[in-house]
Amino acid sequence: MSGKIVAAIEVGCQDVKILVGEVFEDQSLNIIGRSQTESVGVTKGRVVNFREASDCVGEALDLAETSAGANIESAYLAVAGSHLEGLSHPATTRVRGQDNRVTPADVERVNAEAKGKEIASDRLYIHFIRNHYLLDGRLIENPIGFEGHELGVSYWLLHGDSQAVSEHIHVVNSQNIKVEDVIVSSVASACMVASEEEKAAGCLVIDLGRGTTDYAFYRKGCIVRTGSIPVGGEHLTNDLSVGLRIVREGAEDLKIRHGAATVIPEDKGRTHHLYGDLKIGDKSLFASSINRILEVRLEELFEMVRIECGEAELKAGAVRALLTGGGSRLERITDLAEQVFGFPARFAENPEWVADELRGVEYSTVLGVLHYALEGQTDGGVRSARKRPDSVVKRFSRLFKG
Amino acid sequence: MSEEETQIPSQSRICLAGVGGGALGILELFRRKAIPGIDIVGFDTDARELDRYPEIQSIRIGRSLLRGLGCGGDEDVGRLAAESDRSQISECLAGYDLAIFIGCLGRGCASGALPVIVELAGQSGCPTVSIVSRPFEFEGNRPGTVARKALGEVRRVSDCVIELPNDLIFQEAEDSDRADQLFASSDEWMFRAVSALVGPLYRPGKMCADLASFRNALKGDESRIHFSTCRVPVANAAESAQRAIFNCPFRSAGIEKVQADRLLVSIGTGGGLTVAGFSELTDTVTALFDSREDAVFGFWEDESLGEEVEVTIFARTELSAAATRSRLPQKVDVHVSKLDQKKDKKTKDRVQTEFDTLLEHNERGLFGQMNVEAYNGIDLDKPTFLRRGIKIAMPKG
Repeated sequence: MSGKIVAAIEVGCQDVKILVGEVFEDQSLNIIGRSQTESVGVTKGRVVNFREASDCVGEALDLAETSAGANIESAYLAVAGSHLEGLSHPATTRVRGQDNRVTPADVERVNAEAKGKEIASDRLYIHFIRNHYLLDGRLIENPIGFEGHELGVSYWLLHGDSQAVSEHIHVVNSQNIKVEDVIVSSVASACMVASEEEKAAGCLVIDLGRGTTDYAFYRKGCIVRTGSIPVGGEHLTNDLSVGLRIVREGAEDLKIRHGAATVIPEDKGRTHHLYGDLKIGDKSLFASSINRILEVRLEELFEMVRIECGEAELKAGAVRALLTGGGSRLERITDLAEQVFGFPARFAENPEWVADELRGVEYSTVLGVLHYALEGQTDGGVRSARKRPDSVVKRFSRLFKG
Repeated sequence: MSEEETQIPSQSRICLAGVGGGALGILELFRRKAIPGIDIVGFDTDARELDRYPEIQSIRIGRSLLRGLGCGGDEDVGRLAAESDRSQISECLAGYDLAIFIGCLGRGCASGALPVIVELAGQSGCPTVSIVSRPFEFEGNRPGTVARKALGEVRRVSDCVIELPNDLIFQEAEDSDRADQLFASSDEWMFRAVSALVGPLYRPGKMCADLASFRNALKGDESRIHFSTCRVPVANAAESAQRAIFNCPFRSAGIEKVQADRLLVSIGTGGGLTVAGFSELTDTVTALFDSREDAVFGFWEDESLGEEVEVTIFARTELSAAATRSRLPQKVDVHVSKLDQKKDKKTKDRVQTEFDTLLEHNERGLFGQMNVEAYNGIDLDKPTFLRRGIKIAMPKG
């Protein structure tokens, strides 16, 4: 039995990552290939040099096809960047069914109304994320068959700059690969790293990338807010380079080797060497200076996330912050997140059932995209209720362990 | 002062002009030191401000426009004021061999009038050097924007611009320092820049670093000037000078190594510098600026320096030459293989590391060449600690 070959592509600021999967009729999927190449021409989630970006993607696609031993037929693409915006749009309708019982027609009507908000002509809807239904004020997962008068639903509508999105798609199209759909990377990575319990209890997933930081806020199992802030690991390096007057390569190295997200009393008086080889150009720097620069930047970043998500809502709806992405490897970053958000934070990786070589945080976005691709492949028509993520997890577990 | 000129007609003539209220304070500092042969002129619109320094020869610009009031922070008013008194200004600045201008950018008078005045001085054929300070971050957004714009205009009309980002002084101040010391130290640095610049030209020199060589160094367009001055103890002078040159606030942050096409070094000593120390010092400085062919050294003595050495460096980098060293993205040849393309990019990056931090928006570092994408009105590419005015300690000594 041969399935359809689908690729999940992430064109990030740091590298282009591709996972190739084979999707079968029975809703299962095999990951048969992957590739990772250095990315050029993409900054802060936007394509800035089309030709270079296209070449990189081409190179990555060649490698991925070689490793999979098959031709990629279609691709799903992750998009990020600060041009993405979301808005919450609620809608209500009168229940028209017999005996005031909700019928599928009622549900479809309320969904259509909630999704039908007009946006500016240069914006493009990317995702419609549905939150729970409200039947006369009661929170209900699937209202069909319940009795009530007024059915309400709220959608989190994600839209992006149509030009930026089409540029992303064009980069992949230029390599003769058809893009089936685009997925917002914050949604993709969040659905992979957060556990079901955490999603249900409410959590905030923060993906610290190289050029951007994406966040997704789960409340009662649904994404109620996502967004992207154009600050990433690159900014940390740049801050160090400007603040300590050192070259950028040295700053990057210093951040990885000695950087930490908070200043602790032990840092006082401690120094680190820039290169450590005591040659010309090497110099000693205060640990407190390094960490202070990183601390203020990350503190500001977390504060921005807190404001974007709504401070009151966050306090009421989230119990934990999950930090993922390359930036989350910084020491003591969870302490800082706890300080800013006021609830515990942890470093989040892909779940245990993922194969070891894909466990790293770098792969959470592409895995999430592939999961989305699988859902898209097996969808038959419009469903009134969104598939619960737990089924996806089960499906995956079958694949990876089998 | 005209008597003095007639007495020593062979002496070269240098004019030191200050524009705006902040500059007048620095002129006053300079007047007290009184180096002979330098004419000091102050320009301002505010009559009250000019009255505070009665001993400085000054010109009140924009009389007809403002009736002796200030510009009120509006740089357009400052520009108009200078434009309205063009003939008077150019008459006053004519016939000098070198004109040095001081201005504290960010407010109305200096930001608006300075470019006009420098241009008028340049029209008479004399080389112009502008020493300007940029406002503190805590002064707000507007002075910063005004200063950036004015700095661009000053760069256009002036042969050489030396800028002092006040924020760097703020970074280096201790938390416990008094607030007025901060402004005083900004003035102090401006003063040191001027005296380091003109001092060697007037002091009796053992080796030549005279006005002619300075004028030579100024020649040529499309160049970037690096200026740095420091005073270090005579013992172990080379090593401490190297560090002090880097920490000098006139040097832009983040520069690790500069390639200078012309280098003018002036070393002043109170008498304690040994032969070995002198040669070590010159070797260190030339190595620092990567320039062996075109270095001109000046050496002078001043008893008042005591056990200290004053090192002033004036370096020029030809940007046109830098541009040919692939400062701009190169067109990729069809026949170049992919591997070669990658190498090409690497070298381009390396050159950029050396030069991009010298550009106007060097606070943004890597993001300096990118558009400012404000996020809720904040330029997130600029380091947070600079925006919040947080001090970063650097190991000293």
